Amino acid sequence: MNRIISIFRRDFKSSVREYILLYMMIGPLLLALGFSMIIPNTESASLQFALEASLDQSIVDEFNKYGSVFLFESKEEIINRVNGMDDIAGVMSEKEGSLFIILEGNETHDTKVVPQKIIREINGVNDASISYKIRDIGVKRSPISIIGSAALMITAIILGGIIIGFNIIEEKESKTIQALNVTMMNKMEFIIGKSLLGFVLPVAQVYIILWLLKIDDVNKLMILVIVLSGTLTASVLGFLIGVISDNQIAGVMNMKMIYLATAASIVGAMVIPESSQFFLYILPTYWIFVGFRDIVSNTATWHQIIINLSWILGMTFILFMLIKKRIIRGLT
Amino acid sequence: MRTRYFGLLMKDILYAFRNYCFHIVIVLSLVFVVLINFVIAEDLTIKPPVYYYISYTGAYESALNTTLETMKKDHNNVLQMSSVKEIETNMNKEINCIGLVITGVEDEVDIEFLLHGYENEQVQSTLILAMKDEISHSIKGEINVKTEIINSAADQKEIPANKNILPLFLVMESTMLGFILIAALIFIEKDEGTIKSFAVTPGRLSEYLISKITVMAILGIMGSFLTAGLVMGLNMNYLWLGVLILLGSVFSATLGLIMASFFKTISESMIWILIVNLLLGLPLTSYLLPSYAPLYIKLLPTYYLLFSVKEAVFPTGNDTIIIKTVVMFILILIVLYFLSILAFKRNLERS
Repeated sequence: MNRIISIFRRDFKSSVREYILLYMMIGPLLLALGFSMIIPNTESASLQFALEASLDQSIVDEFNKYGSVFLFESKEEIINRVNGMDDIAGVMSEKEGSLFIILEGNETHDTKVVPQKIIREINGVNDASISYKIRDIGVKRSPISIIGSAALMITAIILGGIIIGFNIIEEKESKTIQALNVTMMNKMEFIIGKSLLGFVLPVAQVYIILWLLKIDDVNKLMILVIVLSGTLTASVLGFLIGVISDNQIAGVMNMKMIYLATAASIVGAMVIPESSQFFLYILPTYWIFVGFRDIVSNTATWHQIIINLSWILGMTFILFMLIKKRIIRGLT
Repeated sequence: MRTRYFGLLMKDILYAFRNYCFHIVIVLSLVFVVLINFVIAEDLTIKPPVYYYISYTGAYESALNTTLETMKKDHNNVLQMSSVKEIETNMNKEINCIGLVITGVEDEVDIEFLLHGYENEQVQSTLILAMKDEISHSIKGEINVKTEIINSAADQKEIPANKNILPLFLVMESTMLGFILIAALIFIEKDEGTIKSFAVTPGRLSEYLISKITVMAILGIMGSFLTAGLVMGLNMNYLWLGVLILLGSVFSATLGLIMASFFKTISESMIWILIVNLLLGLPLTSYLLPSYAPLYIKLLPTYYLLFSVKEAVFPTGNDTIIIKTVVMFILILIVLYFLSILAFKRNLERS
């Protein structure tokens, strides 16, 4: 135990000295801060319209109800703007006053269709005898905020693992591992000591991320369960990077593979229909992401969390058993 | 000078090869080819489910039913519920769906949209507008609004969802690879003292840096041509794609060089490199939501690179955006190149 704590203290001290700990701590938090500023903008992501400046104010006001309006003096200016990289629909009036639309041709469905509906509304084509109301059921958290916060939390966890990996590569390069091999310390103690930092830090970070994103009405205990099991996965992945990479270049290339698996878990969970997500089940990162997503959206039950936990631990254990010999050999 | 440069280049290529950089670039490219061609569906449009309840009887009944039928035809998850409560229960379980309640009798129709609460006013207005327009269409038939299409080639080309993510891979993966990799290469040579040894030879610092940047460009072009070639075949503009990937790779490698010069070890730099990498990846939001292009995203060069690569992969004849991007990148690269030389001179003097 003392030896484990010594390794942890040594890593902690060297991380503090080289500012790595500080960077590790504030890196994901800076991302969270940036994300918290982007969320309101992304949620109001709406359509864009390039209108002729000479149009009636009532027409401009009508378009303003459905998106952002930009005014231009001439048809050339509108065409230039519509030809830009983003999606924007141009609207002008003919000599006799009727409105028409200018499109580049590659716009998404809504940018093509909504301006037509607005013009029909302005022309008074719609029936006024039907009343429309909006009522909300009081869930203020948007899908962007839920998916973004879950992705940030998993990033914090995986970063912890990556740092473990690069610490090991540096130890290998500076030959400290050989020096430790002639001491009383055994391999398991070294592994646990090295992983402690990767365990402690993400726990603190995840709660700070939730606080920064003002997500306070979630089950904190469920979060802890997923974070702790996730850090176990990240540590194993970190050791895997550390032992199979002979130097930092190989480390970077292997890290890319792990990034790919993490990105695949997040994107897969979002775009693949639930019934076809089974081929992602072998990725522990999939269960970590889904766990965070359900907890933040307040739809998770303990039964589900235990299923997630079992998959994360089970898959991590299988991965560890597969690479155990490689880890022991790599540390020799 | 040329001999020294090629000597360095051969050494760097060999070094990258021995560390499996070429192998991993090929494997990653093939993984993406398989994902795009065989795993990801051609149509990924996920429309939020609509749960509706209707109790209205009267003059508008047939128009309303036609509207609901049209909605069901347009997307397959418009579902009828037996009560408002059932709609609310479903909405509490799902974060992305809409409720629709139609009540009233005779000439008075009340249409109520049930939303979660995060939807902004513009989304709410658009929902009402779409419903009004659909009902009016059921009653009065199609009323066309004149639309001028500037680029008819772009209008006819519907890009399948799986192929649409190819530019994302080409920019975020093949091009940005050099950003992290070059930093690792520099740190290894720092540790091994190669930079100091090189400093006492007649070789110039510029040759040393350009050689490394060239390796990154070779890896970038190799990865992107392999992926794009296997996904698109001959149906794209290889010349423009090559130019854009070359400029993008040199940009990311030069930026990586500048970042690496601020740190002593790779562990120290890793978090910042990953954060800058994520920031440069932000334009993917605008790529997936093309009407979302705020200033902070338009300030990132990767925004222009992403859309230009899309134009090269799926040509619509709008070469202007590619030419503008090429000119912009050449100007940025001139500045970055001198900055990287300055950063490295400062670094060498310090060590």
